[in-house]
Order: sequence, then C-alpha cells, then structure tokens
Amino acid sequence: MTVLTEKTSRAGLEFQLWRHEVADLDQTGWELGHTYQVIAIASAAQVIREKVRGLRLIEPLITDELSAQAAALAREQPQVASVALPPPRLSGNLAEDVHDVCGLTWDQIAGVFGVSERAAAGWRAQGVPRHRQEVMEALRAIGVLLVAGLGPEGVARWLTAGDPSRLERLRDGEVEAIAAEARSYLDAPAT
Amino acid sequence: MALDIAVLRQIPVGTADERLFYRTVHLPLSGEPNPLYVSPTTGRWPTGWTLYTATTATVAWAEYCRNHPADVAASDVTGGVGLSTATLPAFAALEVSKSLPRRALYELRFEFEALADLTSPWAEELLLRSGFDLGSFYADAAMGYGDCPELAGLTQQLGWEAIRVPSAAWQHPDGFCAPVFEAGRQRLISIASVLPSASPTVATAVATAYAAGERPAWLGH
Repeated sequence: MTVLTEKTSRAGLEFQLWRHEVADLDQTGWELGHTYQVIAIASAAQVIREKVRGLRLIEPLITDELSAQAAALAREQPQVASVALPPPRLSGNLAEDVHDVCGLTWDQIAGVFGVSERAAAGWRAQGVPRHRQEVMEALRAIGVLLVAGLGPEGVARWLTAGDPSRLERLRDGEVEAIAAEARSYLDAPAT
Repeated sequence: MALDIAVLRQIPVGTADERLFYRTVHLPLSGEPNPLYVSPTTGRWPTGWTLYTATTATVAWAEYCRNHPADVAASDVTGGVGLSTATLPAFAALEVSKSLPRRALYELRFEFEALADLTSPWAEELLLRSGFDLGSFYADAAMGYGDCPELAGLTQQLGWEAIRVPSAAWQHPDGFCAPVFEAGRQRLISIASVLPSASPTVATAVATAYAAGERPAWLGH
C-alpha cells in the first residue's frame, strides 16, 4: 500500500502500515478484524487523498469577468515587441544632458529650481551653478537609468505625470526617493 | 511564531516539470541587458541572491505591472475613459509603454535538482502545519508579504535551489513565480534573449492583480 508520495515521510506511519499488512496467523478473530479495520481506514484515507489531489488549499483570487477576459487575451499576447531606438549620448554638458536625456523643456528644468526659463537655458553656456549641480546630476542619472526603455519623451512623462509629479517632488527635496524609484527598474522582483 | 523547519523539510523537492523560466530585464543606456542582475533582499522572497523568474512570460510581465502601478496608471491608452468588457478586446494588444519603461525578455533554462513546488496540495498542507499562513502568497508589501520573507530565509537551510509559488500578480490558475536562490545558480544551463525590447499589453495590465488600492483606475474593475 502506498499512501506516501516519493520523498515524503510522516514519522511512524510506514511502520504502522507495514505492521498491519503483515498477516499474523496467531491473531484471534477480533484482532484480525481490528487489523482489517485499520487497513480499511488507511485505504479510505488514501482514496480521499487521491480524490482531492489537484484541489489546492489556496485558490486564485481573481474571478471577475473583466480580469478573466483579460487573462485569456494576455495568454495569447502578453507583450508587444518594439524597436529599440538609439538612445542619446551624454555630452558632458550637465544642462544639455538633462535637457536631452530627460526630454525636459528649459521651463520644466527651471521649475525645479524656481528660476526663470532663460536662466536655466543659460546654464548650457555658463555652466550649472554649484549649488544646483547635485540635483541636476541626480536628474541626469535618473534619465540615464530610464531613457533606453522610455526614450527622452517617456522620461519627461515619467517625471511629470502624477499629482504631485516626480519633478515637483524633486523640487521639494525628495531626490533620494525619486532616485530609488528609478533604480527599482533595475531588477524585476516578485512583489 | 517561527516556522517549523522540521515540517518544512518534509516538503518534496525534486526536478522541475518546467525547464524554461522567463524574466523581464532592464534596458541600459549602453551595453547589453544583464538578465542575472539582482538587488539583494528585495521583493517577496528576499535572500542575499534571489533571481525572480516566472514559469510563463505572461506572469513575468504581470509582476512588472504590479511593481509599477503609478507608471501603468500614467500609461493610460483610453484618455481617461477607461476599459470595460465591451472595449477590452479592441485595446487588448496595445502596449502599455508611455510611462512604463520597455524591457528585454529573456528565457532561462535551469535543470534544478532541488526545486520545492509549493503549489502542490501536499506542500500546502505541510506549509500550514509548519505555521505558514497560505494567505501570505498574496499578502501585499504593506503587510510585509506575510510569512514569505521568513520562509525565504530558511531556503538555504532547507537546501532549496528554487521554489515554485503562486504569483500575487497573476492570480489565475496557470503560471507561477519561480524565485531562484544562490544554490540554484549552478543549475543554470543557458540564457536566451526572446525579445530585445518589449512592453506588456493592455490585456496583461488588466489581468494583473495589484496591491490594495494600487490598481490603476483606467484598467477597470
């Protein structure tokens, strides 16, 4: 009798089954009855286990019509292939790099620092003021992380979507939090 | 309450039915994508080295959508109108990519010798007996993923190379997550690029289960 699947065990059960399967010629009628009763119980347990095999204790939760319809369609086509566009190269000019890689207008860059559009555009030639450099470098690094997957326009959308937008949060000093969001794309964990 | 490792040791381990596992991979600005990149101690099954893979490409994309609900929300292709069962077929094959970075899709071939299939009824029964709450498989990050991180912390002692587990993102009867642990690295046979650049479809984004309160409104309910 095989109740246990391969590589599983329950301490003592194998011995019990063996013990009750071995015919004992000296057993009385009552003892034999007891033996067969135990074997019958074990057999019934096996039948029940086989009947429920395939029924999982934890069932998927989604049962609504829209999700079921979407799942059927997603199985047919889970993704769309795209042509990878050549991403921009870094020039080394910090202001130009942020403008090109992040796809931001000078007005949007100016908004992060509360300066005029003209002042921000002027950083291309004059250089980014020292006290603005760290945030600008962070913006460039975020753009570098995302631009191959989004393109500059997509990076701009990534930064400006939402309320408050990530650009507004950068303005408010949440540089590390936004950088962490961008870095989270490096891996693909199950969550 | 700590999980009973003696009970967990009774969970059958063996070779996997599937040998191909899927993973979406970040596209770098220059150079090749790295399909073996891992961020230590992240996600539902954190260890020093956990490579998250899935048994189907659909599950891999669903996990990606679940990870970035704000960017799925900002990638609305309906202009705020939203989807319903009547309109989904028309939009199903469109890409969700406006604010969600495209990724490469890779196929990894493993030949595991100690994969624990935690989706079998017997394994679930043993998990319960060990003190593991089965609801943990779908518990959100805000709930600390239930007992999953604790179980992940025991995988090295248990000698598990990888596990086959339900996906919180793909709560449909087919397709599972397959986190691979340090011991499973040596079972990697080959890596193949399936698509160099791709995005999940609208259908995948709709079929995905999101954490409580995070489902983008345009995907419908």
